[in-house]
Amino acid sequence: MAGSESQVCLEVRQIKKYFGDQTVLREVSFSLGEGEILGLIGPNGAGKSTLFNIISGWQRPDSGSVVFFGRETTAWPPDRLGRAGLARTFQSPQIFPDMSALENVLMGAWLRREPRLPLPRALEEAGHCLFLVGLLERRHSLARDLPLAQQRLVELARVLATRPRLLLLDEIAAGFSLAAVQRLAAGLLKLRDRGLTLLLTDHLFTLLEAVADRLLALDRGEIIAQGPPSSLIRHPEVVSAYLGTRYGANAGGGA
Amino acid sequence: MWVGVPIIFSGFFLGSFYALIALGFSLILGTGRAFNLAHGEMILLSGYLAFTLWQYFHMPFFWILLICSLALMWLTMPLHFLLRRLPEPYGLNTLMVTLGLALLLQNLLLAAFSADYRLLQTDWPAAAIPGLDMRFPWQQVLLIILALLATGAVHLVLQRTFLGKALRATIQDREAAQMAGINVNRMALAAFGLGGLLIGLAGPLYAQNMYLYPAAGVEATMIAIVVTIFAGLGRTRNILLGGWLLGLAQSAAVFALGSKWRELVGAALLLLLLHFRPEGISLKKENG
Amino acid sequence: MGKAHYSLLLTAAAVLLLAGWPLLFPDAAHFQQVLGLTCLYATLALAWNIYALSGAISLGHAAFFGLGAYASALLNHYWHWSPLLTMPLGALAGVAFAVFWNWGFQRLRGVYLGLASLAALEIPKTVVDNWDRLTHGSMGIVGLDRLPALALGDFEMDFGLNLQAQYYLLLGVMLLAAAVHRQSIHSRWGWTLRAIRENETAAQSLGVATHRERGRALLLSAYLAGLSGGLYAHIMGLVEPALVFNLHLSVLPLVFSFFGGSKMVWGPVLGAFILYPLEQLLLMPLFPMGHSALYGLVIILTIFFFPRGIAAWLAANPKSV
Ligand SMILES: Nc1ncnc2c1ncn2[C@@H]1O[C@H](COP(=O)(O)OP(=O)(O)O)[C@@H](O)[C@H]1O
Ligand SMILES: [Mg+2]
Repeated sequence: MAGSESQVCLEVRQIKKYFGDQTVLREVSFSLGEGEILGLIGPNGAGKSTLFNIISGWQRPDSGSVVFFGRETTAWPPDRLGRAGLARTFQSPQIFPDMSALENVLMGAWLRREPRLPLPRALEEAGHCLFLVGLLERRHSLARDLPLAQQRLVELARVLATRPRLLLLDEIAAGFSLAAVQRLAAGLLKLRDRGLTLLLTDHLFTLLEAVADRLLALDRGEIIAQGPPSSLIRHPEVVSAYLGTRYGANAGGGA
Repeated sequence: MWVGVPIIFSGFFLGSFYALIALGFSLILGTGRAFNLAHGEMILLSGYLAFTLWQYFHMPFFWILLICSLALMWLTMPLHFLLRRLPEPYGLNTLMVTLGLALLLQNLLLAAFSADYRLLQTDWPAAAIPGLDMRFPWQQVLLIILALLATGAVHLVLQRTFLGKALRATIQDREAAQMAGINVNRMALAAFGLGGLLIGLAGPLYAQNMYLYPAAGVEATMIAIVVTIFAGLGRTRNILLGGWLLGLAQSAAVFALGSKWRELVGAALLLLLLHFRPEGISLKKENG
Repeated sequence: MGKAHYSLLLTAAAVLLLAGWPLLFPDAAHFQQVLGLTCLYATLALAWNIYALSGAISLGHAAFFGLGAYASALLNHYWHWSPLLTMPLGALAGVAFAVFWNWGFQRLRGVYLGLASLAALEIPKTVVDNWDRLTHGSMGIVGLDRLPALALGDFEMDFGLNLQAQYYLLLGVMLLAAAVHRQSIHSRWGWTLRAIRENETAAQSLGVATHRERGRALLLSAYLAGLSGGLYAHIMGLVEPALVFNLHLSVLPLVFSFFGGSKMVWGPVLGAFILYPLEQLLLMPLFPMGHSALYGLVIILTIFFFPRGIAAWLAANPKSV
């Protein structure tokens, strides 16, 4: 706003995290400008979800800090971060199983503190968000009955209905068809045009390649490379992290 | 004599019995994932059976022990088939169904035996303890011996036999055990059977050493829960330790504060345990 | 006709029936007494269920009931305040315990919360039982004031001695609790509770302060349970630790709610009105001992055959009515 460049949305400073004697994150730092789409890639077990948990308040780092729109939020609980405009989805989708798809999304729009919407307005907004992810015709299905990929979309719609400023998506496209990934990518780009900042993970490149302005490659808790998607895919260390003997089983990044 | 001596003796006596009570509960919980809130009522059932056999059929105590153990074993195994059919959330549902069973049993016992206090009175002489100026009733000696024998036997079964190894594997990780080709349902049935045997064994000893009344089951269940959570699943040695600690804590509390405070000791310990280990005894950590 | 109209009509009919029958049978004292107590236990079940709406299964609500009963009894016994004052004040003792509970059990869920609540009942019970100088220990407190009589001009209602008037008072309290319960399901806050119940992680990441909202539900629940306890003390005219800190009083609301339908507005009331009269009027004369076995049987059957409760089952199978 004040500056000519966009404001800094999120700053992650020298995060370290141990589980027992296993080091899961070692000195991870990066920052994210408002309106930017940043992709986080890395093989399974690289620490992506752990980093997300730390940013969104579900876990505490052993050292380092997280700054969200200029405020240090490292010790904030997840609900406080949620109210401040940081929203996330989970790698295994977290839905309200006995509510319909629409009611799930309504929870995002109606339970929000600011602005408090009356029920009809909240319903309208929930319907709109469900439409955005392409699930409007399944609005009356019980969330528990939806296939996993659609549960992810319900979760995404619900999170969008909270009108977040920063959105963290953890492997949102897992299990999606190529067509569905393309539709999702187009949708995410549209959201960014409305000012949303996005941080996404994937252990495959498909979605990130299509939407990200910049990629960070995480391997065994360390950022080993960063840059625009086109250059990073050919980065020797990234290639070896995916194709090297260590993660042979997870190889096949571009597929 | 130092005041601590009777406290320690009574704690040791109570604690050995508590270990016996908790053993069956722990096996059933560990293998069958069932919180059996009717545990105490089932011990009472066995106790009343023992009382009846003694009072009205004048059966020798040894036979009573045998009959009660086998009877409760055969009564407990069907519980497995009942609980197996429960929908998710499984843990909470077993809790409620067994709560219902506890209520049912308690009222049946009330109808059959009224609310009066009963004691299986064997007029055995008291045994003198060499070197100490104390006499110990024989039934207490028997209780301690049997409790320790049963605990030791279960420990050996779990550690040495094939069945025991399969049971332990099921307790530690049900899914992995299943994948390794262990029939976890049959293991659960075995655990209910073995648990029932122990419940049945505890009954006559209860009837002989503590007063039977239909509402007494809750306390026994609570004791089983406390000791089990303290010990962790499938750890026989810790169960013995937990039983003794609880027994000691109770005798100390009774000595210091009075007998009315005894029941609070178990409850307070359970609250403390849960406070420091809110996930209770779940062995596997869940990922967030 | 819309579904909403239909249920409104049904509710109105049921309330009319509950309010009307004592006028038709003014001499059926025993029925009035039993149905009055049914209203009291339905209030307790509604209270229990408000906490359950947040996903918590409590086995310790007798603690709130008993504390409400004792606090009201003590205020009445020592200072001779009117029950009309001591009951709503005494219920705050239950709330105080709920504050402790909410703090102490904040990390517990599911089975472990249930076990903890079962153990928690022992605390007030033992303390009251042993604090002889204040509470007369296990002797209890006798000779409490009965519920007072109110006169409006010529029209007098003696809630203490006239069983018909007492029934109406208890019915009124129950309807009030039912209104609170309805709000705890249908309001925005009600949906907050439902979100917490269905997926606490999701609710929290939407910005819901789950611990605080569940705490609110517990405090409200504890207040209503404490109020039922106070009413009970002055209906009976006495309190004893074994009488009010009784596991049976924790189990009753659970059975009524589950059997009636714990997610339905009228579920707990329905459960109470089917089961309690059945036990008191039918089974008790037949089996003077052990008639409470009914409740044990009902929990088991409910969980196996209609896990969503009888109200939901009836709603799903309207033809079978
Ligand atoms: N709660 C936990 N306890 C112990 N280890 C964990 C926990 N969560 C994650 N880990 C470990 O941390 C590492 C990183 O996991 P994660 O962040 O899920 O990776 P990614 O999301 O990149 O696949 C893995 O080796 C995993 O086993
Ligand atoms: Mg991950």
